Amino acid sequence: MSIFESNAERYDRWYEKNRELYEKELSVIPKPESPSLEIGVGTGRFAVIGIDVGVDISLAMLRIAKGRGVECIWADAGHLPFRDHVFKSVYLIFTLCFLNEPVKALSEVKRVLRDDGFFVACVIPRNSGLGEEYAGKDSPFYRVARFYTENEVAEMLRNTGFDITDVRKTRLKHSENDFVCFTAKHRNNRV
Amino acid sequence: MRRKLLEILACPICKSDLKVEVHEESEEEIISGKLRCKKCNVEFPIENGIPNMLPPELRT
Repeated sequence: MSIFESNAERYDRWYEKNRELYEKELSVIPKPESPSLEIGVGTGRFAVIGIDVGVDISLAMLRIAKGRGVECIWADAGHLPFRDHVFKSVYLIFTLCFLNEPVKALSEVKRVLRDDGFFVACVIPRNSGLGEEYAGKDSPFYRVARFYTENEVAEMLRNTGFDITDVRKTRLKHSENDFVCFTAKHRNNRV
Repeated sequence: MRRKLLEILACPICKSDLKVEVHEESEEEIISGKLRCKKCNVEFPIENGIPNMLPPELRT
């Protein structure tokens, strides 16, 4: 994941240069409930919606996020440093495509999420206009990314024991599903 | 990191409780120190207010 370590500021500037797209993304993401966690918080560009705690594998990115008021922890998505069932909401925003072991990470989300909590996974699906553009792009970030289709994400969520309760989509550039946010809850929610 | 975070933190490997050792602390947060797993004894440093909770094999 050294690509983010050496390109933290460049990554962060994208959001300034693409302000309109960034604001559209922000407007679609469901609001968090505390205590909330974002995995792959990066420079904190999405955590500004009110997320309390952020973890990331890149320290350079975390330093920027900390400046935005997020409680930052240097950690790996597959080895979350939290007790069981502590978060009311957990977020994975544009991060799934960068995970080496997505299923392991989703199992960790399930472990740290409260019984009455909700999980939000936002992706740029491979079967979208923007997904196709990004997958074919020769950028240092997208070269290491693995884009999933909406169906693949939904199946991954179901296979790790989540039920999808809401799906929000928006057009960023090319198609109505350029950016998709899945909200999910524990299956057989006892609450 | 704020002290309140200690209430939810656990060892990333065995998920057991942690013991904190503070070296430097401001009014708001713990700036430097270390966390140690009570069970597997692995140490996690806190530097510039950010705890490094990576398992040792993932640290660079």
